[in-house]
Amino acid sequence: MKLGEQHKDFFELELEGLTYNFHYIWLRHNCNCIDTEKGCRHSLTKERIINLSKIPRDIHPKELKINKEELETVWSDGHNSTYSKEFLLKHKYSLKVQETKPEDITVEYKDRNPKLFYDILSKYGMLVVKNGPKELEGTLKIAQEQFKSKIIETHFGLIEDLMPNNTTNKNNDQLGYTHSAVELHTDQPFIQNPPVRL
Amino acid sequence: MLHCIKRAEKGGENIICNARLAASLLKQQDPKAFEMLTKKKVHFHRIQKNFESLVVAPILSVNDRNELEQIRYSYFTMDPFNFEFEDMIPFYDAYRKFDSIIQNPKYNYKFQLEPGDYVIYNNHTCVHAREGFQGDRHLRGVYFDHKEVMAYLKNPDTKFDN
Repeated sequence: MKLGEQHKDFFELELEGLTYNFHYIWLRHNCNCIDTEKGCRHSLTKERIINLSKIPRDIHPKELKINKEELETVWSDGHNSTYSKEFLLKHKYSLKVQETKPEDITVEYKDRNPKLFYDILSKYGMLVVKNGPKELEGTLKIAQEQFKSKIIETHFGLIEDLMPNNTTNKNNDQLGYTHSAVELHTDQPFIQNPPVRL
Repeated sequence: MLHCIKRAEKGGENIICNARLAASLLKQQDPKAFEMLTKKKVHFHRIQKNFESLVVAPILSVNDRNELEQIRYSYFTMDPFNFEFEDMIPFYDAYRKFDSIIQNPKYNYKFQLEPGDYVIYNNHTCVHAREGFQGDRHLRGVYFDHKEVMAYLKNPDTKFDN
């Protein structure tokens, strides 16, 4: 867990590599402390006893910090709360979509590892690996070694040789197999569940 | 994944844009346009000599929180739009607005793959492009199942051999 930027009504929190937004009012409302007199849940029934309408509109943390795997807050209304990583992961509601800088998504082949790939692909949905295998057979080698996943065949075949004068693929009467520019698009939108190309 | 075997002498650069970001920007900047692209269904229709396939779906498929789950975007495989009269111009406006976001170099990433380089992108949440080129160029493309790959990367049984 990593604390991100704090804004007027919400703050950013990194959980398992992705950044989420949490409103202060939502967090204060969902304090799970158990204390019939001064807390948010009844000690016997565990029901929430704090009425959300009573939380001040301008509630905000006086202090916000991560302690081990928990988020600790000291609220402007004097209350203290603790939130577990599991709770936040379970109830998160707003993913912050990251802008991409080239250095964020580029990795040298020699530095490749599953965790790094996972983090980058989760955050950005794209990854560029430099200086990998140059030979034709390298494609399958990368697929098997680094992604350990079976290749999904399409109506073009198993591996697409995207080149003009293609001779190895079926149905190559398609823009990808020409010299033309192809502007921003997704592949195979005409298939019910188009392959994800990772 | 696109694996570069041979790059073009001139041109042939790749471009990728994270459409999750673009969709959330569109929602902020133009909620009406966002609504058009999430609600209006388009006929994505590939017609080749020996292959045909059709899917009817909106360009932006979103979840309950209006977050992008899947984008379908292909100016070269759409049938003529079949919307009601009043929606036609607003739809073209919405499409153009979204396109201006993804075409903005601030939100996309352009790069030249050299032999041995490879790029991986999520075909459900990214859009990609390539520049025109002259002469020879050879990229090898393969598709994986997203869930399978991410599950493996998250819990690999063995480390890569370096």
